[in-house]
Amino acid sequence: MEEVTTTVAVKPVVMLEGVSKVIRGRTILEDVSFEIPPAQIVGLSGLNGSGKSTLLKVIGGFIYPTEGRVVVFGKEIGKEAEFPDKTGVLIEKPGFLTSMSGRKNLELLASIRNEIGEKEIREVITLVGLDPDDKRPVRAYSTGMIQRLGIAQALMEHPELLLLDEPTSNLDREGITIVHNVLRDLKKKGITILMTSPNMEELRYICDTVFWVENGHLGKEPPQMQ
Amino acid sequence: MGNVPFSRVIRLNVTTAFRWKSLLWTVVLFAVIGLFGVYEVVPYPTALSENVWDVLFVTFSGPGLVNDSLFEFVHWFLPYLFFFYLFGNIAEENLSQRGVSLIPLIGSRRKWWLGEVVTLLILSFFYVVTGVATILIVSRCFLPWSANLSPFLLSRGIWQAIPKDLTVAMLLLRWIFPLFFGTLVAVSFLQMALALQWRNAFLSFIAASAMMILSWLFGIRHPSVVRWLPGSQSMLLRHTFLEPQVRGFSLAWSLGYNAVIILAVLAVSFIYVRRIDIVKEISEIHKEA
Repeated sequence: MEEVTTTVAVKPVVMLEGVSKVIRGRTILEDVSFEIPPAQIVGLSGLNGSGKSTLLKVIGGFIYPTEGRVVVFGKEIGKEAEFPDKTGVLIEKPGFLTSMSGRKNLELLASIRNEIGEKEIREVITLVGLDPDDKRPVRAYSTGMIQRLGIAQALMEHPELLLLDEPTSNLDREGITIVHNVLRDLKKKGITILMTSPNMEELRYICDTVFWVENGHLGKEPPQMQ
Repeated sequence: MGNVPFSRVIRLNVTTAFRWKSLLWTVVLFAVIGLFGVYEVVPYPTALSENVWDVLFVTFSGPGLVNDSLFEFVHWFLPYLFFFYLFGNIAEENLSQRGVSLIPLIGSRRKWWLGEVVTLLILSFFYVVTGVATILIVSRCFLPWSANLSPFLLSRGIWQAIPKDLTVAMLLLRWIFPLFFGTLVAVSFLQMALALQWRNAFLSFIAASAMMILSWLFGIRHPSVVRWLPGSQSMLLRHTFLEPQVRGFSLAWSLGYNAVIILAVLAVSFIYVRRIDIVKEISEIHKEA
């Protein structure tokens, strides 16, 4: 008898088809297409101004592409959904209410969906190396602490996709190690992660796949390394 | 729109916009404005037995058609200026500082915007109530309480048009409160929408303030243009029943005028906000350039 093999097609978590973004006549992204399968850590690197942050914002639904389609968890962003479902985001400098403590800030944001409680918030704050009982207002936090709190906020609602724009910037060595360990653990739990960093070495260390973004185009390696 | 209950959006917005310091400064501002009012009212002969409502009337009736007194203009303008400063920027501030975390949680740009609009409405209402209450309390320190208009108000020629049996409560309900509240809401909605369109809180603050200043200036001795100016809608002294030179400027006109502004701003902003970029376009270019 002939052996029959069946392959189950794995649906990509993120799919971009011919995505371009033009802002005030300037092309930031041009005809970008790629897919991210589940439970992968994918990195985007590139020089300042290459378009890697914009790509993340387009996937997150924060800006809509001028052309092309962005599909996340099977839904086209901007048509079937305004924002991707089950997605945690750290993009730009996290904006917290500076007069409140870190925990209060997260509790306030969590109160919108009311899906998680104090226990989960405490856990996620501890996970990123902060003290959930720290009563100081966010204005007294260092840049690195605010960055950690931003990561905690991205993680707190149990996302299945994480979009992280330079998550280790402003972090000390200990902070970077914590974030790398957290990302690896999340990957083991089946969470898909897309992150950017100007540091190609960091991405090679932590990611399954790394893309190089240059002038709004996507490639596998920086030109000098090809 | 997203599935998050709207009440939670409002609760969050009010929590983030409300600051005790702002409330304190609002009370201080209206206390000073109340003292201005007392200063205006008290010098008249005591035989006219002024009362606290005179101060309220003087404060919110605005500058008259032939009045170019800077003092009276500032007396009327300060409450608006302070509100534009405190709350006219809540939407742009939320969008630029917390939009990336906040709006995906709410799940819809339009629901977020509606939340900002309702929040501004709530804040305006409490601002007006706080202002009126503070002025009455401050005035009470210097003048007696009374249920009716004082002979002081009725003695001035311009007040003869007021029906003698008009109670203070009717006066407040029918005129001062709707005019002050309606104009505050209309102009601050416009400010909030402009801040979103321009992505610049300072420029929209200047635009809203300029609208009020120009309404005062252009209206002086120009009865034919008065009723078309946005700031005039809150100037009781420029309405027809107190200023017959200005024709067709009734309470109904002002309520309608403010309602048209509010509805027009809402309609245009709801279309605009549907596909608004949550991160600033200009910062995007600079960051990527």
